[in-house]
Amino acid sequence: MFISLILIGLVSGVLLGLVLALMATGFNLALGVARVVNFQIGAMILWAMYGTFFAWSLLGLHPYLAIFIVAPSAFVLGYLMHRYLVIRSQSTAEDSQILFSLGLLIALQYLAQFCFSTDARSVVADNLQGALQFGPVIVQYTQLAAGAVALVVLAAMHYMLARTDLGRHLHACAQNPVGAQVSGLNVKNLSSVAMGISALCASVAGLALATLMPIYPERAFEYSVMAVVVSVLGGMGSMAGSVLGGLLVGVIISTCQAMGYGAMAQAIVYALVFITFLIRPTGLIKSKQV
Amino acid sequence: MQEDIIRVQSPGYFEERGGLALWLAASGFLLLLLAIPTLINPYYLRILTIGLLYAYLASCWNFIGGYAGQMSLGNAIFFGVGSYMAAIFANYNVAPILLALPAAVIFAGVLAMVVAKICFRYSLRGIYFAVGTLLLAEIVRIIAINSDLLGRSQGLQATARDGFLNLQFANDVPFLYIMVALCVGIIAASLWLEQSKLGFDMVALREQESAARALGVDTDQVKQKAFVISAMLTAVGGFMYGALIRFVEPGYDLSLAVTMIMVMGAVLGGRGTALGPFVGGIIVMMVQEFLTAMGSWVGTTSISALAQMFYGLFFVVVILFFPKGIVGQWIRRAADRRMVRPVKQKD
Repeated sequence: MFISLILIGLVSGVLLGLVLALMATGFNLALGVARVVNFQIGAMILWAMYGTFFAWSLLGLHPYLAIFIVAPSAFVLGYLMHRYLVIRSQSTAEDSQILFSLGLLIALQYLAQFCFSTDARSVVADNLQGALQFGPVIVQYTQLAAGAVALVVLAAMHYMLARTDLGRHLHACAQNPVGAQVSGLNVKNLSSVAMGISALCASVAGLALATLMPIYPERAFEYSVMAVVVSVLGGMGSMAGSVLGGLLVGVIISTCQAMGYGAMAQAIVYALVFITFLIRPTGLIKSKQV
Repeated sequence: MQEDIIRVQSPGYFEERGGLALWLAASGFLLLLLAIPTLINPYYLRILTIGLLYAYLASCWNFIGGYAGQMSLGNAIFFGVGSYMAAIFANYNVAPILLALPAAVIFAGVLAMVVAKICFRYSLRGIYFAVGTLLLAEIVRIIAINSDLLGRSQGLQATARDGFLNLQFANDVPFLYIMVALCVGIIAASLWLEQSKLGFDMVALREQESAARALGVDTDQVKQKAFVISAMLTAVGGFMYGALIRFVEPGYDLSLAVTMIMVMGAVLGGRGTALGPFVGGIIVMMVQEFLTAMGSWVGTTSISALAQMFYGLFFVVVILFFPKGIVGQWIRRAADRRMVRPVKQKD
């Protein structure tokens, strides 16, 4: 019995962890490249969840087909938001920037609450009902799909960062913005692009979460804290760290839930991250910058 | 031909702290509050009391976040300690509610001491300290939600009991007087701090930690003192809230909302000034009240969400346009004027 609970926690934890890793990668990119403390990421996730819901309920799209609407619009919105709003806060002190993004988070969250009320909504993907069963371990198809989509996007992000020109430019910005500027890169524009990609990651994570759990506005803050926590645990500025952190946090949460301590799962994760802060502020994997 | 000479005048006491006019206005406001409470209706009396509480709380946060420059997002813990202590004393009939005050202050002090020892021993600073304290506050909130003693997510009702020791009055006037006294007290304490050794150490720490260290300031000790003082004072504010509202719940008392009220009041008024957080706290109350009034005037429930949204946007705008806060900006402008005032030199 105990073993099977652990197994269930492990499997669904890994699948959830991939989604968390995507959120953390978004936070990481914004912090590393654009140097924005992106607390508003939770609101982006929330809005992506609502986008998915309405694409599904009004347009009749399958939630995973909605990705072709939600992700590009998230990119554009993230880009514009940085270009015309967030960049103005960059000249203020670091702690003011934290407050600025908390303010944005509150504003966007309550805008969602105003538009969509506090009712919980959920997306039901018809062809993803049912579950796979391996011995004692039961995995919902929705969980599998969420994990798979997150994995694909993570792999694409890794390819983009490691192999393409854009990736190299982003690395340059992260490592030395002045140097990047001197070598002819448009750092301002690249920062906005990084924020766009950050919003894109958040939106795909939101889309996956929308199929897994009910959607309601109060959770935006929780998502933000999760994104921050996972990226800090893994190591700010390291994508491998975000993935590792995501898997770790996912497994802890799922195992706690499987064992019936779901309510305390978050407290345990927060405590773990707080301890990580103290003894290893660089996170589990030390960054080579994004 | 005599050139205009730019001379730096040494600023006067009030000029350095926002100007005499601002101080007179603030004292006038407080005196007015002492005079009128019997004339205004109970609703506005309650709002004014809460406004003074915000002003007080913002001043509390100012000790750690303003003077010492450590961005604590965990002060809701200590607010919660105060309000929950009041509710526990009343609800479980431990002792008269007034005795919850020393208990809360001592408990908050010890807790803050432990947190500070841990945080500053491992030199958490900047965003790490902010997120770390935020995580601690979230942990405390989750514990409160899962604790039967603390009433889970429904919170606790502070049962009303008769008598002065239970702070049970016919109306809010005594509370208003207490809050006025607390505000005056904390502004006086801030002014005292500004010219004490500890205050100078805090400012040195805020401006540049390594330089302060090089000058022989034990920065860890200073941070710790600032954090503990701030926590104990915040607990007093929390206690007053618990005694006034007589209902505590983790969704408010331990949430980010309370921290944001403190931080926003201080940031809006001016971090590291004595009068700034007071002004800022009052403005935060007025903005909230205005938005609520607009909401009930329009009269749909979803409007309250819209009010909250504007509240969030208000933060954003304040940080973009008043990065130094209102009082901070005033001081700066006065300083600028002094710097460029041309003075004809006699020969």
